[in-house]
Formats: sequence, C-alpha cells, structure tokens
Amino acid sequence: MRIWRIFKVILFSVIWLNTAAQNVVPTLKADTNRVTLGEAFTLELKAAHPAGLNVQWPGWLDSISGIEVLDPGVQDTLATDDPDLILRAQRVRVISFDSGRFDIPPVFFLFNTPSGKLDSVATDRLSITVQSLAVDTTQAIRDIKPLIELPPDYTLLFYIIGTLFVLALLAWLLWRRYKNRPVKHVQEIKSVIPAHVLAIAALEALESEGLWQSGQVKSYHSRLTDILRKYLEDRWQLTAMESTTDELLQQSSTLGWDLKLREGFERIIRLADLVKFAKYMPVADENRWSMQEAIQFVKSTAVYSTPPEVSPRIEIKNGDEPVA
Amino acid sequence: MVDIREINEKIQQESAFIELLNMELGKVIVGQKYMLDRLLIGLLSNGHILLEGVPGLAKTLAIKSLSSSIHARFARLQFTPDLLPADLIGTLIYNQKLEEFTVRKGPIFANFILADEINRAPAKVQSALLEAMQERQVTIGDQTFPLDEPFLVLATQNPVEQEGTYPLPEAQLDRFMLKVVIGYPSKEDERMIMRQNLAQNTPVIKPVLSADVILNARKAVRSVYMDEKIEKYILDIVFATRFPKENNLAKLQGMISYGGSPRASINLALASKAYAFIKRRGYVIPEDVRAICHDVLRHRIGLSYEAEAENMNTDDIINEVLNAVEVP
Repeated sequence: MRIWRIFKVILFSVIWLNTAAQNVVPTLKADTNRVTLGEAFTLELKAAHPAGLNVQWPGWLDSISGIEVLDPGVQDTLATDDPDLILRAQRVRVISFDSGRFDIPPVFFLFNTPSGKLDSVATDRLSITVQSLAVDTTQAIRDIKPLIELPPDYTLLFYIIGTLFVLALLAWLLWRRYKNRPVKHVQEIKSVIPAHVLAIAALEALESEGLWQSGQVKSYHSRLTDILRKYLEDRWQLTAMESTTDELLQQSSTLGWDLKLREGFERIIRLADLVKFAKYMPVADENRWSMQEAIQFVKSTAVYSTPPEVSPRIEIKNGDEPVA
Repeated sequence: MVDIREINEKIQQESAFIELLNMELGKVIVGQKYMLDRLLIGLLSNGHILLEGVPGLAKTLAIKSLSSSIHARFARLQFTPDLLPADLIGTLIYNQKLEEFTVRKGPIFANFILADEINRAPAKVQSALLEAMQERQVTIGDQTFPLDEPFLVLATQNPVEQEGTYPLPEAQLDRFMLKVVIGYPSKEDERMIMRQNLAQNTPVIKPVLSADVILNARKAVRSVYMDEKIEKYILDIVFATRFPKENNLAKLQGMISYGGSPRASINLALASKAYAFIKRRGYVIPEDVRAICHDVLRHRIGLSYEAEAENMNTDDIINEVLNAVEVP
C-alpha cells in the first residue's frame, strides 16, 4: 500500500511536468519531403499554446543547411475551436540548388512557464531529399539554347516622346503669346553737341577769362592746348590727351590736313610746350595769335552737316520703361 | 628765379661734345643709336647700366669704344661661377721684404667697368660689385679707397641661357639706373657692320674728351630745368605702376606684384634731364620722359603669375601705363 502511494506521487509529478512542457506544441512540416534540384517548396512552422503564455517565435536565417530561404513569409495566428488555445503559423518558401539529403534542425521556441521559469520546446528534425535531374545519357549532347528574344518594349520611349511633345507645345504657346504682345514704338533721340561747337565755346570762355592778361600765361596755354586735344579726341577719336606733342603731330599727319593748317596747329602746341615746360614768356601778340589760330583751326576742320544722332527704332514691350 | 635762356645757352655750350663723341663712336659702331644714347645717359647722370641682349650685338665694343674716346681707364671682368670678391676689388698681399701686408687693388679701380655676364657669378661677387656701385668706394683690409670719377659700371646679361646662372635679386637690380634691352641691328646696319669688319683698315677710336668734361657735363645735366608739370607726370607714371586701379588701369590690377620704387622716380627724373641734355635742350619735355621710361622702369616692376600666364612682360605694362596717364 505504501509502495502504491509512492508510485502515485511519482506518477503525478511526471504527468504534471509533462503537462507543463506540453503547454507549447510546435510542429515543422514540409509540403513534400522529396524535391527536384531548384524546385521550391514550403515549410510550415506551427505552434499551439494556451492563451496568455508568452512564447518567443523563432527567427529564420537566409539559409538552413543547404536550403535557401526564398520568402520567410509572415507569422500568422489561426482560428481554433478552443478559445483558450492559440495556434500560430508561418509558411516559409525555400529552395535548394544542391542535391542530397538535408536535415532541417529542430526549431526552438522559448516561453515562460506559469511559474515564471524560462523553458523551451523544439520541433522534430525534418529531413528533405533533393534529387538532381535525371540525365538521359542515350541522347546526344545538344548545344546551349540561344537567348530568348523578348519583344521590344516601347513604353519608355513613348513616355519620353510624349513628354517632349508636351514641352515643345508649351514652349510654342508661350513664344506665340510673347510675340503677339502689344508693342509700343518709341524713338530715342540723343542730342549730340558737335565737337567744334564745344571747342569754340570753350575757347571763347577761356579768352573771356583774360588769363594771360592777368599773368597766368602758363595756365592759359595749358588750357588752350587741352581744349584742342579734347577737340581732336571728339572729332577724330585720337588718343590726344595721352599723347605727347610729337606723337600728336605724327597721328595728325594721317588726317589729311593741308600744310597751312598743320603748320598753324604745330606752332600753337610747340609754343604752348615752351610756355609750359621752358618758362617761355610769349609776348601779347603771340598769346592772341594762339587763340585766333586755335579758333580758326577748329572752324576749318569742323563738320557742320552732322544731323542730330537718331538711334534706331527701339521696340518697347509691355512692362518696360521707355528710355528718356 | 630760373633763367631758362641762361640754362639753355649753358646746355648748348656744355653739350657740344655730344656731336664729337657720337662722331668718334660712329667710326666703329654702326647703328645702335639707342644703346649709345643710353650709355651717354648713364655716363652723364652718374648711373649704372644693365645691358641685356644676345651675344654679338656690340655690347662690349660699345663700352670699350666709349672708354677709348674718353681719357679714362677701362676694365673688363668676365663673371664666372668661380670668381671671388677679391678678384674684383683687390686684396692684401704679404710683402716678405717689408714684412707687412700691402694692398693689391682689383680691376674695379677703373673709370669704366664692363661686368660681362654678371649673372654667372655667385651672389657674394655680385654683392661686392653692387656695393662698390652704390657706395663708390671699396674697403680692402682696414683701408677704404674712393673710386675714381667718372665711375660707370656696365653689366651685361644674356637673356637666353639661364642654366647655371645666379639671377640678380630685385633689390640689386634697382641699383642699376637703366636696364637697356638691345635688339638686332637693321638689315642695312648689319650690311655696314659686315663690310666694316671685312675691310683691311679697322678704324681706331681716339680719345676726344677728358674726364673733366664729363664731370662738368654732369653738373650741367642737373641744372636742366624740369617744370612742375613734368614732375607730376613722372609721379603719375610711377604711381600708376604701384596702384593701377586708382589710375584708370583696372585691367592691370593683379598683374603687378610691385611697382616702381622712389628710386624709380628719382632716376626717371634724372635720366629725363640727361636725355634733354643729349638733345641739347635746357628743359625737359614729356617726350624725354617717355623716351627713357621703359629703360628706367622695366627692371623695377614685378610681374605676377597672372601676367606671366598671359605672356605679358614689363614693357607691356609700361606701355599700358603710358597710354593711360595724361600728358601735361
């Protein structure tokens, strides 16, 4: 009787422990155990466990002992008749490119027992046989198949041409709108005072100041030659202000002046050089003569027929301000 | 009060020897008027000259002829890499008989020195020469000897061969009053040179001047009248090389690393006076400044990498400056 009691206690303990482990029931199945080389097949991992039990779902590697994972799928919860039981599953699509027999090792699930202890259960090892293709040795060896010609795909080209066409149409519409905008015609008139008018006015102003009469002979001849140099620049576009007397005479030799004009001009600037650089004191007649000769020189070389300079017609578009 | 008429007469009188000298030099030197004028400017304004030109352009002949036409001593120094300062200025030699050191003066104790290919000697020899040029005296041992007047150094350098040379630093180049670049003679001149050299009787230069004439002429050069307007023109030119942007030369901004020094202004003024003297005029005109401007400034302007990249040289810079500065 005592022995029977001890046996019952041991039996109860074993059953209790076994029941606790059986709280999570994992399974790993393949839709086939025999596949051809390169043929994809599916592994189904399932685990049933009581609701409220914290079970860690195992992760999948990219390859498992010669078998490559094509699509790990997602873990899903399936409906069961028992509301206290949860059934979770994951379908993993795999493939193998090696022939032979491959063992998929047990997949471990970790969970916490009701007593708070960490425990684990594992699926059974699964064996998969991968068969290579049967070679018909009786047949002759054949060449590699040629590349398969795909029909041309014009979709991208169609989109490009379409976009370009739309852009060209848009540009043409904008250009037409810009071209057809209302136009105002204005003429810009520049009033240009002829060089000889400016020069004679400046010479007359100089004469009226009476510089040499008040002893400022050097200033008088400096300004007189400056007026003439400025006149040469405006009238013939010479670089007269930056040229020495010799250079000026050399430049002017190509302007077609007659001998008397050239000699007169040379005398004016040579006399001025003596006054400016050699402390020469000209007599009153020489001062007067320089002024008269300068005015005569300007009048002789002036161009009187120059009309006011009219600029070409300018088209002013909307939004622009006409130039005054 | 400056009496310009008096100055003019004095200059006319003092410069009479120029014609004589030119005639004498013209016996052996054909053409090269540009070089001869610059040699005279150096001689009359007491400034040394750096001649640059390829070999065979009568550089040596010109200076030798100039010294022969004046009662003066001439020495030619061929600068080589192994030359020592003592070979130039002299040294102390121990006299066993007197049991003392005696001074042996070097070839620098002459009136006209031709320093041939100055850039072939090392820096210490160049420095010894340039120091003598500046100080016009030489110290050997513990004795200082003033150099005879007139004292004119004409240094030459070859612009083509630069291998194994010691280029003169800018500070030492500045001590030369003029840097004269000599070009090839014209075809007509070269024909004359060829004929002259093939002729049996080679003309001989005779001394036509004494050193005193030159010393008096130097005083006369300094008395040549220079108006304030010319002074301003000179300063405008030199300042335009220093600050081109402020002188309407924005395009030269970045092309010049350094412009003319105050020594450039001094030498430009002095050389302009000497040029007016050669032209037998008692006053300076802008033409004189422009005529000598390139020779005074070309070794005193530093070019930047940008300018070198655009193949510009200092003559181009000076041309730009002269074309931009208003003439009085």
